[in-house]
Amino acid sequence: MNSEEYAIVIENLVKKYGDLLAVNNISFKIRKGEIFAFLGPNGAGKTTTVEILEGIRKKTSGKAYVLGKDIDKKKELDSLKKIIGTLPQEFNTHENLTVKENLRFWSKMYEKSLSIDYLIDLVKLTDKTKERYKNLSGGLKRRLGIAISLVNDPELIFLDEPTTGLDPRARRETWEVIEDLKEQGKTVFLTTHYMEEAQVLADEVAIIHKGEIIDIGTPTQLIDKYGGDNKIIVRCNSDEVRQQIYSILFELGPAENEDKDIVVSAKRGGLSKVVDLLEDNKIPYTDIISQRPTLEDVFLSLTGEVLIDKKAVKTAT
Amino acid sequence: MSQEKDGSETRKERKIFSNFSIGFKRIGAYISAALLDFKRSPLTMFFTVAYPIILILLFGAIFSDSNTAFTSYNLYIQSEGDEGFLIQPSPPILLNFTDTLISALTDIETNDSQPFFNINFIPLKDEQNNIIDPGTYLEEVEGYICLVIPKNFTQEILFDYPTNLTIILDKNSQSASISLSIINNIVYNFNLAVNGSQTNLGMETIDIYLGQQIEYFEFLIPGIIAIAIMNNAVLGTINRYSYFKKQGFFRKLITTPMKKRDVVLGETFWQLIQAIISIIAILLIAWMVFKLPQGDFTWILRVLDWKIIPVAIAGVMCFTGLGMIGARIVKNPESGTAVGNFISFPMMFLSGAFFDVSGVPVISTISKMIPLTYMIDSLRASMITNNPPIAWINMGISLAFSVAILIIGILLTKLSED
Amino acid sequence: MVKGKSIFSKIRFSFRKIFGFTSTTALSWIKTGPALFFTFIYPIIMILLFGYIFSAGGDENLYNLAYMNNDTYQVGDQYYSYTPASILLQRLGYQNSTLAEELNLNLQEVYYNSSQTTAMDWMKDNDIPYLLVIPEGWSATLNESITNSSAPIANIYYYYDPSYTSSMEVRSIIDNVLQKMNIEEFGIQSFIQIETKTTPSREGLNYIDFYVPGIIMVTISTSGMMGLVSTVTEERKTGLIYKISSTPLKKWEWSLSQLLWQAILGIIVAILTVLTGWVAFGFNLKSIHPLMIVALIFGSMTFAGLALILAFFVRRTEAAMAVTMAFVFPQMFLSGAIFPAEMLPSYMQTIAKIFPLYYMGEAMRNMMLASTFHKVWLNLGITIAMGVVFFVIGSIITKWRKE
Repeated sequence: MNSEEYAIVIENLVKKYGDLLAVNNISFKIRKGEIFAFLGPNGAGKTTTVEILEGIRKKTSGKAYVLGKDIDKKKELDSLKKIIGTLPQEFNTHENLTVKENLRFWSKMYEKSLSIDYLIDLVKLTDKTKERYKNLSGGLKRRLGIAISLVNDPELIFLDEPTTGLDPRARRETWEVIEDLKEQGKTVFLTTHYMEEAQVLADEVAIIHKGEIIDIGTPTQLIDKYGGDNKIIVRCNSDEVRQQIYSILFELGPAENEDKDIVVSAKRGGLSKVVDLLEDNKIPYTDIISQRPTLEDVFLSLTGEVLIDKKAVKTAT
Repeated sequence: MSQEKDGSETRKERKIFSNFSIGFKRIGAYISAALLDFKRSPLTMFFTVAYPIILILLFGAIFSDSNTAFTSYNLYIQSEGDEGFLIQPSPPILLNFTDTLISALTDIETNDSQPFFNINFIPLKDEQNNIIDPGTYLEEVEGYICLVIPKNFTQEILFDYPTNLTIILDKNSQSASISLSIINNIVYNFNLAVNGSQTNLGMETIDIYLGQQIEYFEFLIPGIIAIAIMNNAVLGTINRYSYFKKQGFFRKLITTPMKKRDVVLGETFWQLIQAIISIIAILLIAWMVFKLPQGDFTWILRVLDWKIIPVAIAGVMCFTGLGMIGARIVKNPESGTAVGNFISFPMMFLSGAFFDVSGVPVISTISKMIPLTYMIDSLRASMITNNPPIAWINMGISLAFSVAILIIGILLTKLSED
Repeated sequence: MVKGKSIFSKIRFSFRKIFGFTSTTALSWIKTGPALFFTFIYPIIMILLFGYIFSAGGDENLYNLAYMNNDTYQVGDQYYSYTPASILLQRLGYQNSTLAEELNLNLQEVYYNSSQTTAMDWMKDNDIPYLLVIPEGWSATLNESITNSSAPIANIYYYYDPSYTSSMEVRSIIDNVLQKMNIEEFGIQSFIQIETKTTPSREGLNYIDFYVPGIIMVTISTSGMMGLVSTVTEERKTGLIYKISSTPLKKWEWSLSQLLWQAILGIIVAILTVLTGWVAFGFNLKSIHPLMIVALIFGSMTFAGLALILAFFVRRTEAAMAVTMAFVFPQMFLSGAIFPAEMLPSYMQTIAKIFPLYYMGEAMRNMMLASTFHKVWLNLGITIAMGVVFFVIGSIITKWRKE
């Protein structure tokens, strides 16, 4: 086991619930000091895997070495708990305790802990030190959760869907905190279903779907491999204009996306060609965008499914 | 002109009517949701059905006449020996009052011809030949009453009267008091007999419900019903309301046309349904377990009286109101149970449901101030003793209490955030 | 990483964890506000309530006895006031408040028209629990009976409502007065007199002295057990318990912390209850025995353990609370802590022995009297054994990991 190089080594990990295969024979390695993301939709097996590595769920079979320790051996697992940090999905700490009191509680679970004030400053909760947990907004709660996971100055941190349910601004603030962790030399294992999150934060991404890892690579590698071509997106205001655009670009194989924009693959025709076509025909489009493929496109092309059902998200608000 | 008037009046009527029916629809929806909630909530089902059944089985077992297992009272006797006294008519008779007394105690029986006392003798000396002190012995065997008959009791009585008969007892034991009064009676009659006298003063006791053949256990049933309703309504309402507040359910509800009065009415009506379920459960169990075995098949019919309904309504209004008041104090569902118990448990005993508190100094005053007392009295008068005037008066007081408390509860309930 | 840390530092680390966890549980609990208040107020209310109702056999009770004296003894044109009827009333405390208090009777003269209604109906209409009627000509009958031994006994009438438990007691009071009157007024020599004594070491011990320990144990068993069941199931639901299992806190340290908090709560409840009993009813502080603390601690252990076991089998908070209540509620009544076990039929007293609270109550009672003290070891031993067994089992089977 190259414990010097790798923070986590997984070999043929399987988790079965009766006949249901939640985690189906996955293997991967995570280097020390990197941010590693599991990207997949809900129910893909991300949380199950993380819980197994944290030692709070039993695996069915396979091998897992975390920071050089074999999680099958109880003593090694126990010593592991002192040097990892976790932020479980939808984690909530003591409701009626303040930020400071909560941090103090968790720090008592470890022999040595970082200074509470330092942690509060780290996640920028200084002016909320005396605020009760239940009165914090969702984003602040999450930040406290991260602070809690850092209480023992761990080498490796597990963040299970750290920004789910947060508004975009809170999400970005959380990303800043996570990026800081990398700068401190910590390894971060992160799970998410937001492709932007994986793309922005992760050094390496594993695409996980229905309990299997489809592929692993840096975001750029994956996009280059599976993302397909750039897309040209044409936006307009009315159905009439839309029809016109459709017929003008017909030879390029246009399609309509869920936002009712017309989309063509850049392979069929570059940006300039599309612009020329539309200008020549004096089409009153509102916008033309050239878009690089994203991990969303990667996922779609690999699995035929979407990461997040946007339609569902729209009606919820 | 008049036609127009008619038209607008009809429209107005129709509007009122439709407001009513919309109101009903909303209330109905509230109730059906509550019903589904109930079916999936073990705690509520416990209180509505299991709790009253446990109560009735417990008290029925203790107090019911069908409980034929009467345990004789344990009486310990230590006699220091009696030579007796020989009197000399022909033929000579050996008087031995110790034996007479002991026989009297042994022979005395209850109405069901069971021996009243279970007599145990305390020896005078133990194995090491030490004198046994009866009081200490009594404590060791955890007895509650002991009779010490002095040496040569017969001669003492004949020649050195009055003679003391010592009774050692646990003054806190009810069994001891009952045993003591029996012994008192025996001694009294003995005194009269020796005097060659008789009782000149007597007392005839008349049970005012004698003709109706009511056993004591039946008097407890109204109390059990009222308590079951109370517990269910108070705890149920507190739990539901504080849970709703936590979930933000009310916050959502006030953005709909639903009005506070619909919520309250819905809740009260729902509690009424549960109360009726409780009542039916209690009466059925009481009938099947304690009355049918005695061969009393029609008991259930005699006990059912339509006046139960208005009292139940009053009860439900009152305790739902109390629950709403409690829900205002409670911040989270977990402490709801504590507060609910705090409200209902003392009331159980203060109301005199199980034993009457009319003579107890402070308590009897307090019992007149709590609504539960009047509800129980009204139910008892309706179901068991068949006393309509009392039933009506107490029902009236209950209703007055209930309306007042419910109004306070409504005023205090805030559907919006603090 | 330094290998083979000393035992000392391991112990120190355990202490840090346990202390941190317990103090946080306490803090969290205190901040819950009303729950704190009500949990402590609860045993105080119980003591006050039952203390009043059962205290010292109700020396201060005062029963309102309605009476109607139809007996007017007339000789010629004179109504005599010094008649047997008036003597009887005087003996019942008529216009004699000292005697009335001693007898616990409060005489109230009433009147109803016996040609229009019967005593029974009148009582029902007016909600009168007991009524004493001295019939017309009673004194004359009595005097007749004295001189003529074959004349009938002069009876007074006692009407009572059986739904009032006090009706029996009132009857017995009147009975006693009648007997005494019979003996004293008519020159009957009493040959036998009854002298009552209290059992030796119960001298100075009242009902309240037995009741206080009972209430303490009942509170520990009910509030304690319900509180822990609620906490564990809630923490499982919010996931807090799983996060805890990913820290170095060991399971035994966790369950020990929970137990510690339960024990602290138990001690506070005990102090409050004893103080209330002492202030309100003169609870005898000397009846407190050091072994009671042992019973308290192992009692807390028993119910903490039972709570953990229950929370293992029943996962959902609501269901778990329902099952807990189905257990603690009958236990409370049958164990003999709230009302004397002798009031229960014998088969119920047998059932009571399956409840842990029974043995704790017995142990507490045994401790209070020198004569029963030797039984302490059995009951206390059972309590200790239950505490250890249930707590250990509960700690072991509690699931920290997800399946």
